[in-house]
Amino acid sequence: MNKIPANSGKQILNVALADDDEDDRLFFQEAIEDISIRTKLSLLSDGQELMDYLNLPNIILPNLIFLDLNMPIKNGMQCLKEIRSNPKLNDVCIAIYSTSCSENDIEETFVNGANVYLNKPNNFSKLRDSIEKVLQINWQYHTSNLNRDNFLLRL
Amino acid sequence: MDFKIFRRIAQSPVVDRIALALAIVLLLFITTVLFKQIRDLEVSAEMVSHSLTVDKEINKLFTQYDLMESAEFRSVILKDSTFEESYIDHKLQNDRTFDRLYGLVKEMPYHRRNLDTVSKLKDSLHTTLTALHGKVKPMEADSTAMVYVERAASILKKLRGFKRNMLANNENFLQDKLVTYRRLTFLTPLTTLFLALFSIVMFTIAFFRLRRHKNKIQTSEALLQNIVQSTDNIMNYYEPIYDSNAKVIDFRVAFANICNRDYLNLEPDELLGKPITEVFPFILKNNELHRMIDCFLENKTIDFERQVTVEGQQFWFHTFVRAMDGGILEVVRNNTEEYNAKEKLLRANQELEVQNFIMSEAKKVAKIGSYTWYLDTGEAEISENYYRILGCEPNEFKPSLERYRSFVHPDDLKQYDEYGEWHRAKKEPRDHTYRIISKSGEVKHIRTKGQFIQKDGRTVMIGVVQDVSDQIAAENTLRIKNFELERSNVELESFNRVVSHDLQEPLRKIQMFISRIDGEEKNKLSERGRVYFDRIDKVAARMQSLIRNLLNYSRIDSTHDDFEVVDLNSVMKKVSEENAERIKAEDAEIVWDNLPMVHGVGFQLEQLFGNLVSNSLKYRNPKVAPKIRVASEMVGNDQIAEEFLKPSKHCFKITFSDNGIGFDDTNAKKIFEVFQRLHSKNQYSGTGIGLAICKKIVENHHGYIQASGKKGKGSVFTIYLPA
Amino acid sequence: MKISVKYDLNITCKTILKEQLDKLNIPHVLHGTGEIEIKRAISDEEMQELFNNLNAYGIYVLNDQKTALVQRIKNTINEMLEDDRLKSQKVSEYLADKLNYSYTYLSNLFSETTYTSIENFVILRKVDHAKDLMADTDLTLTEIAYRLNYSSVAHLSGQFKKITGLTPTKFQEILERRRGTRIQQTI
Repeated sequence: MNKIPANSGKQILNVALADDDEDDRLFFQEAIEDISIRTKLSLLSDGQELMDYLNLPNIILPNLIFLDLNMPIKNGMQCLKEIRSNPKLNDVCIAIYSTSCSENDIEETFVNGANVYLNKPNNFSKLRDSIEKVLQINWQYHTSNLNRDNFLLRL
Repeated sequence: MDFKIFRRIAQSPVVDRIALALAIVLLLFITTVLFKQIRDLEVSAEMVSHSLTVDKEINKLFTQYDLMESAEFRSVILKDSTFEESYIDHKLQNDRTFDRLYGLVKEMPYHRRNLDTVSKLKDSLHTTLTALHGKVKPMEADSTAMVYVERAASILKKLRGFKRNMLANNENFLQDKLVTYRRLTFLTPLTTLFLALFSIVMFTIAFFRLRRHKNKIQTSEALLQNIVQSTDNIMNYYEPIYDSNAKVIDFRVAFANICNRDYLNLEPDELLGKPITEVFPFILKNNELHRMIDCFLENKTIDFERQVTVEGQQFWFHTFVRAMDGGILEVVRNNTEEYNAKEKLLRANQELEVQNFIMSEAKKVAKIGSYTWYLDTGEAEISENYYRILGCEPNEFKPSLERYRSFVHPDDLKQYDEYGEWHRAKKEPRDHTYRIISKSGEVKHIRTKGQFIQKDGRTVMIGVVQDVSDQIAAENTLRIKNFELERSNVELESFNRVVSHDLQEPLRKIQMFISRIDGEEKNKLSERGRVYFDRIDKVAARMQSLIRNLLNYSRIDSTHDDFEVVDLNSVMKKVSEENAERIKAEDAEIVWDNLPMVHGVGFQLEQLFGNLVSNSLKYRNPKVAPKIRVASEMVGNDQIAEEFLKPSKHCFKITFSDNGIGFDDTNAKKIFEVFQRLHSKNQYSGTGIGLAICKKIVENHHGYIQASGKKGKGSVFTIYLPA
Repeated sequence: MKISVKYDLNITCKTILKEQLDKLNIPHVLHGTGEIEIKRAISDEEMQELFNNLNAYGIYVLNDQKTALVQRIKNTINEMLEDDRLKSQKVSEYLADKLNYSYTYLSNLFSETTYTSIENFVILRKVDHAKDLMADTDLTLTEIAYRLNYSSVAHLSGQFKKITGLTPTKFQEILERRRGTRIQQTI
């Protein structure tokens, strides 16, 4: 599935998306494929699935997880809290990917350890640009010695 | 003790007076005596000198007889005719002397008698001598002559005897008078000295006594002055003024103490000599002057209350007037405070009466009754209204616990007894609500609260009961309403969620799909298809902004936890920065005065100002560059239109004026309503919710917003925020 | 229970590299820091496997000179930002001077390799530094702005907001609340 882009020397960024909405998963996938950064995307359709995935043995952990807040079975906030309380998942960056633009939600997720808060846009190119920016900055945090504790980004 | 009485008597004025009278009598007496003595002295001196004169005259008279005889003899002898001349001469002298002597001894009978005899002798002597003279012719000395001579000689001899007698007698008299005179000359100076000494003593005593009196009077006068001046009462003394009919018509101030200044603001010195009706005009009120005149005339004491206003302040004075020493003394005490206190008490009493009345009426209206229950005997008293609550006539039955229990609703009886038990055990006040069945069978809810007190050594429970049936019914209704409200709130909340999330989700996806097509795919459409597609895009965008604005509108909640002091200047600064691009693009200008600090929610106020600014930019006049002016002033709440509530006395009036297209003033209220638009959608974009949001925000800040406009000239939005 | 450990990154890395290379039977010599000499020709599959295995340890293969140069650029920028004396120095001049390449070349190379420009990276790096200062010191924004050579607090705030989407105040608030929850958890 992974396409090897032209500048094939670079390492691949592992990305996961947990979203119960099929359309949104589709848009996301299309958007990320549109970006020049080399990524490997895993799609999960709810929170429980994500947690199960993360707990698989020998799994190559994603560098970045996009997490919808409003999901059945296990919602985004619960996942966030679980991930942040698991030392094994310390290095994973979490981007909240939600329609909610309530300041309260935003602050709560940041406080609970989210690194990025991304509102679902209503325009594909905006989505692609946003994802690209998140990936870029995330990539910087992975490749340059920036302090990941202070990695906060609101888009 | 006797000594004391003595002293008192000595000091009494009566003794002084008696002593003074005695001294005067004594002085008069001594003076009289002295006077008499001097008179006596004078008389006796006169007597002595008289006697001496008499003596002299006697000698002179008898010498003249001798001279006469000798002169006769000589002429006889000498036959000198000149005799006649000297004899007559002597005789005349002798007669004069005799007359004088006779005058001198007029009051001395002894001498008179002698002189009468002498006079006879003298006559006989004359006769004799004259006879002799006739006989005697020159050179005719005969015996007859000799007879005559001898006769003359015997008369003379007799006369000499008389002379001796008279002289001796006079000598005796003189001696006698001299004794008297000597006595008197000794006594008179003595009496005079005595009188002088006595007078000196009297005056000295009188002087000392007078001086002592004067000192005493001075001391007591000073004391009195002190008292008069240091008292906090006004003390004035007035003298009467009479008219031509000797009728008292007024009084003149004769003395006024310093308190006149303190209370009436009148200088005591300036009052002196003036009529009281002039300086105390209030005296003419209430017949006071007449009463004072009566008091003076009838010599009595009166007192009365008087109210005086001094420089706008009311004083109450209690005044005593007393007739005294041909005038009247007025003593005035300031009892304003006492009077006010009394007045207050009186008013309080009246109020209490009114309150008592209101209380009893209120009991009826509020359906409140009261009871008193003597625990020891079980006796009880309940108020009239309590009977009424129970559906009975007042005093219809004799209240007791058992009797009362029969009214209590059977279902509540157990609870009621438990409450009573608890109450008796704990003796603490506690509310209890239970039901009763009134005489007419009506079920009523009763709330009671009682308290234990000690009354005349007995434990008494007193308390009130209230018929709360209506309240409970109202509470029930309220509870149902509240429940309904809660449910509708929940519904509203879920509706909000539906709008915010569930409704937005599909729309967002529609827009996503639109944006997916809007590219290469779009080019595959027919011309018409592309037009429709653009329309779809626009409609979706419009729907999205509608939903977003509606959400914004519903999110402006009225919880005020986040109220803080907000500087409207920085709000305006932020707003103009946020809209900087648009302002530049429209070539607009925004100016604002020094705006106030208000209590509010920062981001809401930003939204308010932002909406107003963008409203002005949107409805700009295409021909002129937009200009927005924000001004502020502090105004009293009377400037706010009548229809609004006025939460504070002052408020900030903030005006937003622009030079845009304006609007018709008749629509001034309409523009704040949700989804109300004055223009077609094609003309101006917008959801018709921006100004509604403004209104909601301002009201959330306890303020008001109004709009006024002139078509083509511009519009003014006026915001009133509490200061 | 918590224990403290001390480790030598150099030794750790060398050990990991040796283990991984040995595992795939690749003969090699480790040269100083960050250079491996491979003694035989290896297939793409073998190479990929090695890379993947190393990635798991956070060790990435810089497969060409360009990548190495980019790393050097980053290091130089870090160095420069941390040295107070170089505050007023222009990044372009400093980099060109230090690395002996024209700035245009470096700039193009950097963009090509890291998906971002040198300027952006400098900003990112500076904001990151600002975050550190906000998180770990009591310095005020004014002091931080001065220290990081910003012309004003507004400038810093603006750039901060642009990079993170948050205001500095909000950022600090979130960090503080994070610490609060963390303390609660440990309790």
